[in-house]
Amino acid sequence: MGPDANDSLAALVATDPAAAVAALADRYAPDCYRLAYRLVQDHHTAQDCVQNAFVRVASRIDTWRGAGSLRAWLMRITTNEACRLAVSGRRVLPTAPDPALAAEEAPDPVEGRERADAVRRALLALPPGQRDVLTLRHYAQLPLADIAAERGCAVGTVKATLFQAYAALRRLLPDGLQPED
Amino acid sequence: MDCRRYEVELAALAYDELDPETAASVRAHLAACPSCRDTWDRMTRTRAALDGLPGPDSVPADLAATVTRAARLAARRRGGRRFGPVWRAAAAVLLLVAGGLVGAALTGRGRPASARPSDADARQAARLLTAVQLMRYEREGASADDPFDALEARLLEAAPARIGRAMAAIRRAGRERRLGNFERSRSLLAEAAQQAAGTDLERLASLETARALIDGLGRPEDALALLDGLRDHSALADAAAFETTRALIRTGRCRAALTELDALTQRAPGGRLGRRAAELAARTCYDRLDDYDGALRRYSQLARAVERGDVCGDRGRAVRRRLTVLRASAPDGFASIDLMQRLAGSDGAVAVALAAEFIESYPHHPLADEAADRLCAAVVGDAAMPPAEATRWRRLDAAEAERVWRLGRAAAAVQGDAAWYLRLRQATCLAGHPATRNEAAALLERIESGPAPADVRRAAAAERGRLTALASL
Repeated sequence: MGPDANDSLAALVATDPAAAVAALADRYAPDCYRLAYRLVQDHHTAQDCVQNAFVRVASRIDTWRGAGSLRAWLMRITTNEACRLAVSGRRVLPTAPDPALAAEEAPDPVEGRERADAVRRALLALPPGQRDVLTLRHYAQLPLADIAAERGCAVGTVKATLFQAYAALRRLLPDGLQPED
Repeated sequence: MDCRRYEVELAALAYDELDPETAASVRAHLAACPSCRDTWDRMTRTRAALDGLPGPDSVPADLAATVTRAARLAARRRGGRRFGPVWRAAAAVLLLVAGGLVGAALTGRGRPASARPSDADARQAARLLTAVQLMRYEREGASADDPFDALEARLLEAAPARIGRAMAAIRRAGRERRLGNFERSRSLLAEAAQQAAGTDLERLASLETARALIDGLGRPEDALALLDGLRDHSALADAAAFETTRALIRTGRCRAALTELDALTQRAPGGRLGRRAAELAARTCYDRLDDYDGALRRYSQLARAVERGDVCGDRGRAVRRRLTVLRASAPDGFASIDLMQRLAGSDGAVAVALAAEFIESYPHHPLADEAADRLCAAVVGDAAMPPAEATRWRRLDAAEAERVWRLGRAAAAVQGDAAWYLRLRQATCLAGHPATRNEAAALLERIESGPAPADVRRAAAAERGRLTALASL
């Protein structure tokens, strides 16, 4: 997405918010979905999450400040929504392993899922600011400058937050996941 | 060496976001400082752990469309009604029951971990969850501030896993149905029915499937078959009956649906489902059956519910709007509409009699002109205007001449007041054209002096006065 693509979208936000939401969905919904999936690790919940995020976006698009890119804004809302759904534990029920079914599952995916769950739990336990910056940079691959513009702070601050997020995450993650080789 | 200054840059370096100069200086520092290198290594390992969170294999193809629709729907739904005290009370009662269930599940925790939850647990959980869903079902439409969410979460905590999965599938199916993805909704419900086999939730899934069949899949007949199996079930009977009426309406059996709806309204007069049945009955009368008397009766009852505040928001406004429309379109009461309908369905002598009755009973009704036309059609039929008449009214244009002639024939064919009304119409036609004003004036004078009804004579006098004034100009 080049700067002019964003400019035309920003213009659309001002003139026709409903069309802007549709255009945003067209362009960024897949990115949002990938991001949400990482955080909730469930196809349906990820879809719900993207849907909720866009519902929020639709209701607030007229208040968009115009600072930072729309993509960054959208990604932050998606992150918040994903964390909300993940924390509320909705995901846990539908996929909680039924003792009778667990035996039929191959061992590898289970281990992979445990690993993923550990990372997810650690991420969710981060302070929201650190969590957002880390998620936006690592999973949404937003440049630090975009994150800074979206948060309304200096790039240096984002760098520092990201560094702190890493330090905090290291303490939260089980040792097995970051082998000291 | 100021390690702090470099530390902050490490995160940016990890993501390749430093300009070449700064990157080089940070790298140089890393090479020289074991402590910072240690920090850097730890960070790299943590970063690798982050990649252990897999992304999706693929993105749903219809994601953007689904999301856009949801956003648009939400924008329209905003300002939904909040909950009334009745619903809070009902939720509180259920919460108490749910407390018992949670308690039972907790005491059950002593069992060996490998034991599957008993079928009795599953059935009880399913029964309570179904009750919650039915409450939601009855208050269809409101979306904000759902007091059942907490309750449902509580029930799900204690429910066996398969019930939890079934419930999740049913909720998702509901969302998909509201978004118009009916096929997806149906496959989710099939999944739910399988998970919750033998419990109330399986039947709830059937009910929801029937809704999808009616609303989006265009298969009301299949829905009827499905609903038939639910009508004996005490908790779901009313909901199944309501959906049955919707399916009947879709298949064109509106009279049967109306009978059912009235019965449902009687059975649950104070309940929300009863009110929804009353609303649907009134709409069916008006939209499908053209039964305006029936519609008036039912809408009037609904209007009282609106005044009491039982029906409000968009629904209340819709009731008021319908009543206004009904009253405006039938200033002389619904009997006139009824008469007009009977007239439309008859011909020959019956049509003449009905049309005459209409004109006599409702001379100022907007449909009186149409009744006159029908009367003319019934009297004259397809007969052509005789040449003598054509010559007599040659100064009018052809359509006007024809109308004057037909009105004259009709007036001659009927007795009583209707004949005078028809003569008055004939005179009005003639007065509309300067060349036939004399004939008009003569006819009006005859009406004025004849045994016509008083309002016809007054109208004739007024029209003649107008003609006189025109002539003196």
